[in-house]
Amino acid sequence: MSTWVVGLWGVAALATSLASCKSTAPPGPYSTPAAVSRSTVEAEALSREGADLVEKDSARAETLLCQALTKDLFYGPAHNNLGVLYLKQDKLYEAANEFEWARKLIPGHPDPRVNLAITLERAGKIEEALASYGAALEVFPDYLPAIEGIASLTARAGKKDERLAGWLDSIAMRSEEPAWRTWACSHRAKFPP
Amino acid sequence: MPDGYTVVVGGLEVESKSKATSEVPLLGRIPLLGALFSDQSRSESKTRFFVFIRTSVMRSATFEDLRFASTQDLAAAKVEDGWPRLEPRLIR
Repeated sequence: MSTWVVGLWGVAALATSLASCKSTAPPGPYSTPAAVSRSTVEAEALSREGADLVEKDSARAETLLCQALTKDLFYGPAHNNLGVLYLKQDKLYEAANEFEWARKLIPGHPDPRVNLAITLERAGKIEEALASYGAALEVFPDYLPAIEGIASLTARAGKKDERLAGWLDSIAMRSEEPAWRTWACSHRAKFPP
Repeated sequence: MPDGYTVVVGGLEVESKSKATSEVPLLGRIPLLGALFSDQSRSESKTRFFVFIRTSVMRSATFEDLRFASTQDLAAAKVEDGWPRLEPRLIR
């Protein structure tokens, strides 16, 4: 009789512990999408609205972007846009974290990698920033912002890279911003044609 | 001390008190009535000077990261360094 009671208590304790494990496990970026509720359409709308407010009303933008991630934790653009907001507030650690999420969730998009590189560059992590710009160029070889970033950092850090002249040519010819074109032309003059 | 943290290492406090009296000669010295011909002022000031130190560990063996040591401070002070700045990109 007592053995049966002890066994019953054991089964009850195991069931309780399993139930608590299920309820407390935080959903990560690699959890099964079916395990959490997702509303991607609402997240997309909130993310776009938040992105429009990043420059004008950062507090409201942050609220909207967090709401977007509540609707769909796996919506990569919302992570990217929240990272941009944090970067503008000089919250480098938080920004890098959001860009990492975005990079994993939308691996075919170069912007999270470029943004992560900008964050690492501002933190003085040169090698990591160069690697991140390089990763963006692997995803999208002619992506001009990544070329601008890697060329600028390579020149600023005094690195010797045989691709630098080609990057400067690309910026000088393709950039829509006069400041970048002028800068590229002035640095290109230091290299042989 | 962890990298990037700021500490206050000391402070200097200067406290000054001053009292000034201006009066009409002779009349200002008459007991009780002299207050009508004089003016007194007092002032106190306290100045505190603190020294803040922020660590920034240079990890590169060739000190390449030294070039970036003041990048953020320059940006915060809105001082242009002559290089175009790449802005982070939103996804809409």
